[in-house]
Amino acid sequence: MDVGLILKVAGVGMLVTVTCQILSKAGRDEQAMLVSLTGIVLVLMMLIKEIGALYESIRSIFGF
Amino acid sequence: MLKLCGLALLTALCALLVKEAGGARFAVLLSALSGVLFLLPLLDRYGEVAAFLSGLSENTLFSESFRLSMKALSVGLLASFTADLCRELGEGGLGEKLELCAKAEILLLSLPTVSRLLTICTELVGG
Repeated sequence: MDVGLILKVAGVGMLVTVTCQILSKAGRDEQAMLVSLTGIVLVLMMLIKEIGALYESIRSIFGF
Repeated sequence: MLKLCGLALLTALCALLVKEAGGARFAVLLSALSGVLFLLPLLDRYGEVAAFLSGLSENTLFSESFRLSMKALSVGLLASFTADLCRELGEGGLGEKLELCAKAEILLLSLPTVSRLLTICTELVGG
């Protein structure tokens, strides 16, 4: 059970949120949007990797 | 079990923190990820049980039925999990449609067994 992964995602979320707020306040909205998108893509990649492992596990157990 | 409870609590707290900081989308993704992480060790353990039961039913009358019921169970499990994930990410309609497809799939899987059962009943009745 990977506790580190949850903390990693939470850390990425906090970092991206804070960065976006700083960039928005500085008037750089496009960069804030790009940072936000990058953060979401990063987290999605982690999520999809785990979902893939889950589906592979189901496939091997139930013999699809 | 303690580990699971601790992990759930940790996830809830992290999600709350991230939400407070203004990253609601990340909180949703975090919850979805933790759901996946809960299921992975459970499936590993269940795999041993499934292998044991499969071995038991190997040379009996029930091997075919057992295989079918395992498949139906896996379809239900997959669909339920994925539909919940879709709902969590805000796509409730997609989840509903997926569950409908899973029900149809399970029905199709069970059709040969039902057909065989009806044939046996007909033979027993003498028709």
